[in-house]
Amino acid sequence: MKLSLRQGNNILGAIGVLLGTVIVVLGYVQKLPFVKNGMPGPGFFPIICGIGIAIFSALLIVENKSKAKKALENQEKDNDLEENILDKAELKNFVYSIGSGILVIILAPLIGMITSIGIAVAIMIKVLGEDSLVKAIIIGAGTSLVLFLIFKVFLGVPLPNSYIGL
Amino acid sequence: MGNLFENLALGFSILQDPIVLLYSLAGVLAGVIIGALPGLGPSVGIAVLLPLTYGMDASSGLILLCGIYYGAMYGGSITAILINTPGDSAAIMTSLDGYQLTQKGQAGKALGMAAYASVIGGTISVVAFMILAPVISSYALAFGSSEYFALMILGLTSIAGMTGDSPSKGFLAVFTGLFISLIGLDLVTGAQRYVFGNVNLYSGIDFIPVAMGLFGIAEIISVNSGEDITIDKESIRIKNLFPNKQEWKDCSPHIGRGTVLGFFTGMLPGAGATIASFLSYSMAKKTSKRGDKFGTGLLEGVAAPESANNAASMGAMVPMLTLGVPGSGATAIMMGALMMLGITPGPSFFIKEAEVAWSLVASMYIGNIFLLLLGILGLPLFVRILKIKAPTLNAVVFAFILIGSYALENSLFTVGVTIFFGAVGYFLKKLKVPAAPTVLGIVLGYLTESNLRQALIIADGSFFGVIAKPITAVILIFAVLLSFGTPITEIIKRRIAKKPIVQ
Repeated sequence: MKLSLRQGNNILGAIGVLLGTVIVVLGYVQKLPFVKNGMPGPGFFPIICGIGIAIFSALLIVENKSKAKKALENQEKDNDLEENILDKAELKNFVYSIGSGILVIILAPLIGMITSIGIAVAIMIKVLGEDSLVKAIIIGAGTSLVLFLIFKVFLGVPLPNSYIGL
Repeated sequence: MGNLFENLALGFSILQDPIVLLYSLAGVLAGVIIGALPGLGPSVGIAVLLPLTYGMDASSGLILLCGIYYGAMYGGSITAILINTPGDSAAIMTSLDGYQLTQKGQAGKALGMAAYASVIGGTISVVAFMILAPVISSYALAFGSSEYFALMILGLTSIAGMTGDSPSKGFLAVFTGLFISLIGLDLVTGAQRYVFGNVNLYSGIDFIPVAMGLFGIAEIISVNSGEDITIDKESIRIKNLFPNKQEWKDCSPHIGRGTVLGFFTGMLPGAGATIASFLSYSMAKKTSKRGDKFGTGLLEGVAAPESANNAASMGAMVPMLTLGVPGSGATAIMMGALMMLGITPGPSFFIKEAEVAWSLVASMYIGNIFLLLLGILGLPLFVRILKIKAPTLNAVVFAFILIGSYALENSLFTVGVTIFFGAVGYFLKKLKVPAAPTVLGIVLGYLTESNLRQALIIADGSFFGVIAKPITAVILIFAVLLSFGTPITEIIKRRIAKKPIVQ
């Protein structure tokens, strides 16, 4: 999978222009007046933010294009802009880290927060660290125990429990 | 001056409680460990460990967070010196000579000097902080809502203009942060803003899950170090951590200059410890008799940036605590944390919250002593932690982030917000969009809006009436110059260069 900084900047700029426009349009749809009784209304700041996001996103695209054009004129490949920003190992990290987080959200109401976090930790260590299953389970359980002691016992945070009380 | 010592005595009296001292020690220890992990700096440390302050009183919470802040600032130098991988950007300059010293078998001396320079820089800066902060506060007491609005704009524009690889990205990040802060019920009119009927959004999106995602999860995903670390144990024995008399003589002037430069650079919004350490290293190179040998393994090359980055971390607290305007990601998170603890930083902080303020000052002295002791005695422990595989450490830090974000509102929705911003933050990091302006935007968003509204009411709805006040106008001009000064100068230079020379 390849994505250069130049392509990424263009995508970000396009998303930003779209987001800014949506914020402004939604401001009108949700009837958030820009000015109310001669003073800034509830829509004043959000609409300014929407316009700001759109303008700076458009500027990013322009800036990106001019940098690429300059590099072409100088007949040199702009390494910074053309280098691949996606790394295979990082993408694996991304999928398993974000996936483990989502797994915790799904499992927490069913088997408890502490238990589901322990499982997520074990999965991350097993897959990303390529450690043995036993080591992963021990570290996962150890982390759960430390979290239980800090958050449940010491700080008294009411965590979602499973039938075993964790 | 007498009043100053009385206030300091008040601060130390609070520190007589062993639990408060323990919080300071725990903060410094946690900060050094987090700072030493490659890629994880003070912002991540504070964001990840913020949940530990839930339920604490304001003094203890603030003391713990400050300990993490300056602990992480020093911690970054450990990996910079030992494995040429700076724990955070402020330690980049330290790695230039620090790693060379390690390769020469003098890792202990480099680590020792990093600890001494950090502690000396930090301690002198506390004295400057203690003298300057109340003075600035007393002047700022005369500020009204229009001046505050201008200060918020200064904080936001300078951090946007000075961080990241392009100002467009910085401003995009600031506006996104400001927008996020506006989601929820408008406290003045009661209007629902961008909530789409979701009850979880009525109270808005807190900055903590966003900061945990943008700084914590995004950093964890991009930390990819799987290399084995081999360190010569002999070189880091305690007896080898002490520089000799001549080395002290060589380094002292650089520590002094680095401290002064670092403290004042740290006070500037958007500048921060990275720029301070860079400037200090450059100055040391220029002023040293052995300037040409910098980068080959000189202790002066470690002392100068290390004193500056710790001094900058103290300097950065001055505008945050006295004006309520944080100038960096780490101080933005700290300001949000203070507000969570029920304290609003600003000119009245040293008057209304005298106990908290002076206990913080006192804790900085004690914290620097802890930092020195940990820097020397705790080194074997930090080296051992560095040897743990990155995925294992990441998984444990990830677990802390998840449970911490849950504990904020006892809601899985907050965990979802953290994960969402972690995913978005990773891609923004790859695209070199700075995270600090977004967090600052969220922290300052509500204050900016409410101050502008109040200022407009006072000025009978005239925007010109708001910005035409002398102090407000000066601050706003300064904000424009700080954020757009470089591009404007570039345009003028290009125009001049294009003009044909008439003979």
